[in-house]
Amino acid sequence: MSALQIENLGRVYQRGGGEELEALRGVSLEVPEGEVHGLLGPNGAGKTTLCKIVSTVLLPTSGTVRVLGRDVVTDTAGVKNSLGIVFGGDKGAYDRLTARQNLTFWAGVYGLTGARRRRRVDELLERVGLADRAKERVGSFSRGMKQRLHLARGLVSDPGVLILDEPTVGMDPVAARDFRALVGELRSSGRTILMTTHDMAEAAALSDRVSLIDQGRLVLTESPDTVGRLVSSYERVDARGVPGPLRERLAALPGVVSVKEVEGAGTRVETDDPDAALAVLRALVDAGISDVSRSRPSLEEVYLHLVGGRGMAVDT
Amino acid sequence: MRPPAPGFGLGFAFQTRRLARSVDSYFALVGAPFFTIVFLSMVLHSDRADLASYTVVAPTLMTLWTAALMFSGEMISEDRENGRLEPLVASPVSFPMLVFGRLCGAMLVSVPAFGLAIGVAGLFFGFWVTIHHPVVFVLAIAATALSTAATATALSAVFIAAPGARIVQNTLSMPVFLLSGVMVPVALFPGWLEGLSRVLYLSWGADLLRDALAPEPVESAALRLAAVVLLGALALAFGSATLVRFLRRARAKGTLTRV
Repeated sequence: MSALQIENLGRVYQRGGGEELEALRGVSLEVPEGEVHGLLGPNGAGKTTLCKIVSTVLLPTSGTVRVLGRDVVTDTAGVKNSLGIVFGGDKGAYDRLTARQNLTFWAGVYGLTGARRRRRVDELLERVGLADRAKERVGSFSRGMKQRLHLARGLVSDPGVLILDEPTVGMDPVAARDFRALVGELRSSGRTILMTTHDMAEAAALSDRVSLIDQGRLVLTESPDTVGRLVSSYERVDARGVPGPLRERLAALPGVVSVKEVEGAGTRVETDDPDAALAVLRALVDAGISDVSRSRPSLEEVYLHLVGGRGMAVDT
Repeated sequence: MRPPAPGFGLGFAFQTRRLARSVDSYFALVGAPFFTIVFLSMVLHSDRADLASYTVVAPTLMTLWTAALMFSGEMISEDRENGRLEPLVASPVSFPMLVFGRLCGAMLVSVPAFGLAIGVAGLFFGFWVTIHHPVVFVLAIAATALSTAATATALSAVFIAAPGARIVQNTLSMPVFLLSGVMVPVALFPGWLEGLSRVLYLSWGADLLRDALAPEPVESAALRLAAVVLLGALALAFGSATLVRFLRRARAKGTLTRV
């Protein structure tokens, strides 16, 4: 059974003056159990809207979403019991209460009581590395610590499916690395995770498959490697000291898509055919140029390529 | 599937813990001594010492209602502003029962109000209140507090639907104080107005509390207690249904997080 089945999902927001904003347009996606699925897209692409619908806090305008076979509209209670949610940012906890009190409350919210609740809270505090700070007020925590507490909250019911909406947004690099390590552990425990991010490296490092979403539409769903290969049939060759006439010759080679000057990298030749990169390398070496490197594009470059270079610009 | 989470007990325990940690929860108490001084001065100035017990009951109930208005709004607004409303709504807990439990916990704030009113009346005016029917008094204050929390649950639904509804807090105090006979017994109202007052649980609660302080036997105490509880239960049923309806509307319109 699929953990998540999203079919033709649409969501329209009514804005002032009768204006409508179509946040999701016919999104279909299937996430099998045990998969970590990365949802990539710029701000305003529809990632959070999708997460909110899956989490039952927002109703779809059209289409259906099933979590472990349960419909988010007609079987809301069933879905709520199967899901853990971690929304990004440092909000979401009761700052005047301690980490343990916060987690105890949320464990109660998910129906845990007595010794079982105490055990679960202890176990989670330990797991997210907050056991030593359990008696401190959350208001004094750093953003990374709060986010770890949010992850513990999302796990309190031991859910089969975990939704992480921009979980590392605003974290410093060390906290983000630790957080990713935690998600990596969850991955190995067989949980299904839907994680939104606009950090390409994060998606590539953690996800079994990645979906790109833009302007409310799903652009593609593939493994990070496959997405990488899409444009790395698009390879690239960087070389320093390439004279003008050679650049022109390289541009004329079959399979070469572009030749451009890139600050810090010298001349960058992009190809859309694996054989073309070899031809470029040969031409460079024959011309006596030895400062050459060959690489595949990052997921970010794939992403930018697919959404037309709009990058992280907010869609208005 | 897990059984539904026990929202009421959880909310009550949670709110009492929060009360212990936040001084601002007790702001509702500030008015109690001042109201006692003003009301008792007026009563004594008019040579109506027989009404002195009224001046102790009124500040207690006023604090109860003020706390209900304050918490019903702040609870929803704070959870919304601090990113907690969505995770709560997404959880399996019964949201109306959680709110009701929290509001019942918040009602504990009014317990010191009675002590403050008694203390001020005794220390400033030498008028020491005697509770002649303590059992009735305790039951009446408990039933009134429960019904206040139930009514506040209905009010909290307004804050789901209209995040800017804080003005409700400011406008609903005085009309309720007057109409429910907290300050002036409803028996002194014109007949039609008294009828209207009897729809409010607070009018039954206020009368019962005053009677519990008087030496005369309390008439039909059980029946009047039942009236307080019944009106509170109706308010809770209405409040729960309204909360559920407004939550669904907010989910449909995407306004759950809109501040």
